[in-house]
Amino acid sequence: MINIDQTPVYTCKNYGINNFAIDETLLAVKTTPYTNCKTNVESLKELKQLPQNSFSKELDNLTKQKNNFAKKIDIGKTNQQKEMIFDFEQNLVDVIEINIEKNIQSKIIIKYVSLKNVFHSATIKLNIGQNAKLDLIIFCDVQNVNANFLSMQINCDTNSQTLLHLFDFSADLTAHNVISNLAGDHSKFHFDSIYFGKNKDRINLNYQIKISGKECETKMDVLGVLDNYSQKNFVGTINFLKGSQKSVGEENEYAILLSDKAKSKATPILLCTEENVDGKHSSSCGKFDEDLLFYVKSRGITEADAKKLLVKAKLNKIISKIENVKVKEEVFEQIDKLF
Amino acid sequence: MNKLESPNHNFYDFKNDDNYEYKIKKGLSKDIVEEISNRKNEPKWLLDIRLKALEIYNQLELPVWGPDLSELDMDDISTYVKPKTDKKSTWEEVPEDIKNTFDKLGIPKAEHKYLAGVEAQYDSEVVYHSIKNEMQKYGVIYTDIDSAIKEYPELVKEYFSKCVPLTEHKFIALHYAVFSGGSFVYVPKGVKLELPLQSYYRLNSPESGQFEHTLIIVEKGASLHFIEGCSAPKYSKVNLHAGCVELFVKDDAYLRYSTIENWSKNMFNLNTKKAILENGAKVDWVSGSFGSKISMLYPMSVLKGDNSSTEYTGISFAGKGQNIDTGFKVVHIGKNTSSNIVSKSISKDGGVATYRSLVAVLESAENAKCSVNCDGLMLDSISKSDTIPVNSIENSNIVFSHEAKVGKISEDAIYYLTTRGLSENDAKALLVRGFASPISKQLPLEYAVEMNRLINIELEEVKKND
Repeated sequence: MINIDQTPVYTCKNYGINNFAIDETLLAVKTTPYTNCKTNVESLKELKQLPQNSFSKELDNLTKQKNNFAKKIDIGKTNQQKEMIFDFEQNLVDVIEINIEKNIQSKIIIKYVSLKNVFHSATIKLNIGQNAKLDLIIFCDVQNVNANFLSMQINCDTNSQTLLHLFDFSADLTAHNVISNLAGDHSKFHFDSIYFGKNKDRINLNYQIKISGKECETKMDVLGVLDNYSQKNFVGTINFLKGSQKSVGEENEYAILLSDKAKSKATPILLCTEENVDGKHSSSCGKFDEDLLFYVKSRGITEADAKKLLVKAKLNKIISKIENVKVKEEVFEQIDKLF
Repeated sequence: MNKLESPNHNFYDFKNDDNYEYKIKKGLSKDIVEEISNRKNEPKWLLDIRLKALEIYNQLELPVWGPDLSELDMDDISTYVKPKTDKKSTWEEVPEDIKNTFDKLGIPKAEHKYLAGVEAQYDSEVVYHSIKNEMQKYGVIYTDIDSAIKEYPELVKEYFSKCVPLTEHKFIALHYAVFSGGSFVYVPKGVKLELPLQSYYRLNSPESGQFEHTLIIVEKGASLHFIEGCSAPKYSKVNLHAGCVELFVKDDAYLRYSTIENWSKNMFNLNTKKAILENGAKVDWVSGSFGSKISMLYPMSVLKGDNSSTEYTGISFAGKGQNIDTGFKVVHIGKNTSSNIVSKSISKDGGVATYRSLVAVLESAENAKCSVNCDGLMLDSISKSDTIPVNSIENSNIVFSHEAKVGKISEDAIYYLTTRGLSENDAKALLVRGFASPISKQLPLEYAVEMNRLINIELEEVKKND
């Protein structure tokens, strides 16, 4: 077993937040070139210098040696919507670098879809230029995939705004490692994440936001649903580094437990070496309010539909922010599939 | 501009001559452990525990998390220092220098005014003990652990090391190898003590350690408030405190455990405290951490019984050169259990304050309720405040919430108060006092002499610099 967790702080290992381990054989995948990406991005170029995979050296080596899709996107014009859809039936190790030039606004959707029992690892690097704005949706419909790794590094320049929406309808093993650097003054990073766990899914989420610029703003909302024997381990870190005066950071995490066997572990971390900041976090979990469920059912709605309604209501905090109607509908479809 | 000062530790920083009857050689070895045991004339079962603990200590590594403990070298620490007195039952019998020490700390006065019983430990042994007669009439036992081992061997053996096992971590293993002193309290069924018991620990000897063991059993329906205070003068080299507190709270019993810790800034405070609660039991923890160079302190409640509950209210202050890593752990096992955690930390002058906690709700913990609120206040830009709470939930039928904030004193609030005629420092002092008030309210003045004094001293320093 190899430990691939890179949380910024250690705790007593009995708490289990630093020991996300996987079998080495899981990384012994074979890949063939992937050419099935459907995209309307004109400026797709070969990526020669691969960004580092933020998980661990093992996944970084895998990315460098076995990647079968490595592209760079330079967005120099404000655009309506760009899409990249990966429909894959084979092992996929993709690497994408997106550079948003200064003053440019861009909306991008990256979608991963697979019905096969295959392996997926994505390494995505975002560079958001000065005064630029990026609205990025990453959608993973990979419920039969045996392992889905998502490594992201986001660099936010001065006055940039990044909205990242991450929807993951989980594989047997899901792992996210998202590191955002707000080095530019007045940069903003808003991050929403929704995950679903069912059967015996294992979900490991490690989200880090490092703030070193002045007057930056960040907000992280992580909502999820866990059913059956699924397990989730969430570590969310907001790190106010020296120089981040007058920055504001907020982190909220909530997990709906649909089953008595589901397990939720959450470690919302606040690190602070700068006095003049405002940081807060909250974490909560539980099942449906029984009274509320009863009330909805008493209106003639079946139990399954009532639960769907309540899940949608709980997740609406994030879903309502999605401007793309099609993506919104797909999220609702996934919720419907749960019941 | 910010003139808030750290607590005035000078008050506690008075030293007596290192005048002992016996001071064991520095270091840690089987010989040293056996010598401590022989000096106390202990039964074999206890020596066996000590030796087993030493074995475990040598096998375990230092933690890879938390403050850096590399400065701690057991070869520079004497683990047993016997003062030049045995345990006395009146202050007049206690040697002058030791008596003066506890006089300065206000212990005899507090005993007279507010307490049902007092125990005072100086270096490695208890030097004074008393309990009001009526307590003994009800069958309350309050004595030092060494006496309890001799006078109540079966009772002690039944509970000793059953709450905090030898393998818990490296410094508990060290504790069990060299423990000396500490309190034993037994409150029989249905007995409710109106007045608290207090034990005070003073470490005077340089380059030494204090390893007291406190064992408290509160039987069914009984009630107790226990206060623990500690301090030491400052030396240039490291002193070590690795005590252990084991609390057994039976069905429908209540225990309030209050600690005001004010170790000197050369002290490594690696203390362990745990309570096991049976059906309907309740334990309230109140904790003030104002001293030590490095503190790693995480009191813990195990809500084993149905309908058991626990509350933790704690404040820590990390000043210059201090790294205070503290928090609370609670494990929900029984049905209908509840926990409420409120923690405040203040850091200034480069101090590092870390809140580190665990909330674990196991599968069996139906209908558990848990609420955690931790706030960090930074008084300047050279300090650090970290919050690392781990929440592990394995039952869906629970109500759980956690929230935390970190930041500085609100500029708007300071401005508002200065427009009301307060100086900037008075305004800051008022706001810091307000920040700490949920904790200071838990301890009535007459019971928490030390804690309120420390908060007040800190705030008086603010006014002095005005």
